[in-house]
Amino acid sequence: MDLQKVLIITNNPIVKNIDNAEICFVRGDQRQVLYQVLNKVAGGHSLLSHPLAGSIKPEDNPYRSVVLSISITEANLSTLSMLEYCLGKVESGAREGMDSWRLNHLARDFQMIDRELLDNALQSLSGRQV
Amino acid sequence: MQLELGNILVKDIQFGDKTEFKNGIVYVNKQELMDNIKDDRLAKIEVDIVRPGDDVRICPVKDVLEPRVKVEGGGQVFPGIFGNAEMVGSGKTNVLKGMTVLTVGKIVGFQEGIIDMSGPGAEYTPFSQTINLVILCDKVEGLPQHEHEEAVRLAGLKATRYISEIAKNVTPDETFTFETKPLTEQLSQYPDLPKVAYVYMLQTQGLMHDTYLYGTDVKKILPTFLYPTEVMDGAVISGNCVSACDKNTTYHHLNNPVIADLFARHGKDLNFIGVVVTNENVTLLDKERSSNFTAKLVDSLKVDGVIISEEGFGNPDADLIMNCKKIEALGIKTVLVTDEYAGRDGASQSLADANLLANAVISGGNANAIIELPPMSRVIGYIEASEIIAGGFDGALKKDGSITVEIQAITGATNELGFNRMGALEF
Repeated sequence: MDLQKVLIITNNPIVKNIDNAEICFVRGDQRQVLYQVLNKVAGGHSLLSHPLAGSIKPEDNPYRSVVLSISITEANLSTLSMLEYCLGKVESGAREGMDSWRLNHLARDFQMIDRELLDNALQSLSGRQV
Repeated sequence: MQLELGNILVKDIQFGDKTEFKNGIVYVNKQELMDNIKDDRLAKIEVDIVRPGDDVRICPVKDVLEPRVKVEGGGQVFPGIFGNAEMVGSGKTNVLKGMTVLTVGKIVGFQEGIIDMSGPGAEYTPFSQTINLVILCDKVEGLPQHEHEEAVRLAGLKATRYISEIAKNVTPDETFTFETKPLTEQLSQYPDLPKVAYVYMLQTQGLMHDTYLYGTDVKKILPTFLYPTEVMDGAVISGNCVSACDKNTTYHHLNNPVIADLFARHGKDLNFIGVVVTNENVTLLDKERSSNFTAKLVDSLKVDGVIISEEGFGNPDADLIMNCKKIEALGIKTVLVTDEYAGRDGASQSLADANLLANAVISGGNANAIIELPPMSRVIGYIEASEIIAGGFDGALKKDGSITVEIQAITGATNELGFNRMGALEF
């Protein structure tokens, strides 16, 4: 994969050893991942993959990996605004409560789905100057 | 492009010695059907028939399909899966109306749907009103999820194709003709009526989130133009197992109500120009690119307005809003069709993105609303999946077999094409 170096913020333990990626592992749930993404975007990293998983509620899948640029430019206000909306959704989902039974029984499936979405993003970014 | 759809009304499905259509009844030779869909990746295939009003729960549902067969005109139904992706959408197609082929399989530990054939849950799914040929597929041990999903998807498509062949030489009970002329002719056909196109967003993010157009993975396409009748001939099929309430099954695509309603008003109070299909990808660059191309295509169609339907929720909300903003910026009006995840009390933010230009929005309902599903005397599939289904939660499945779930768990409950029975009354 001809991938320019990227930054991956993740809490998914099976996201590791990816070529040309600096991995920032977050201990915590999807909210902690997105707050870390918010910090990085506010610091000038560009958001490359969408912060929410496709059609899986944040409170259903606790694992999330988000791709950002390594390089830093001026913070993008429209991205920050979108992140705010996403965090709104994640926070309201969290109020409904995470389901510990679900997390314990399905961790491997959740991790696999998150990794699949991440791989699709990295594949799509291959060859792009970021 | 002109297509005549011929509906053959199905009164019942029964197992028999020969697969045939006789006196309104679809007879199915079970063994021959199973021989047609067998796959080394599937350890067990079971076939069942369920009818409206049965005390039956089906779970977890993967896809729902409708048997259709070409009688005249080019190509085959589900082009690209079958045949050489010849163009479809013209000639005559017969439909076995009132029945479905419905696949059931446990691909990962969560995320498929429930269909109750009676009781309060039946009110939320259109497939409680159809006679369903249910195909339950179990994988061989160790089969990766990608291959499992493909094997179940192909089993449904092959079964549907096998059944549809019996409709080829039957005279339909009713026929409907739909026509879209080549673009320049269509644009000038009704000069006094507003010109309207349909932007058809398809879920395309990877495993369990995929859709296929003429057999190709839609995440890899750039937005393109379709004649609406191509969709009626199976140009779009579902590989999407995620979020049962608002995913589009293949049946939804074949019977897309946005297309049906636009045709119903075509030449009366609007001029239906055609369909732009687009994807919902993972990266922001892909989202920008696809929405840019969608807006460019819509602009080139010289329409006054578009209907935009979303599939799924969360991440695709960004695609919906991008499409809306960029098309509105061209001076073209948009109406969005989506659903809501507004929390169990309905008080939370509904979408993960928003914009002031999104000022005409149709909601398919709140997927987080809770429903109690009473026990059923018979379950086809895996009832234990209901605890780990999207919209299920710890303790959802009670000892008596009743389930407390969000309506997100019910196939088609908040469908974003409007193919559901949910509505709102203002007092």
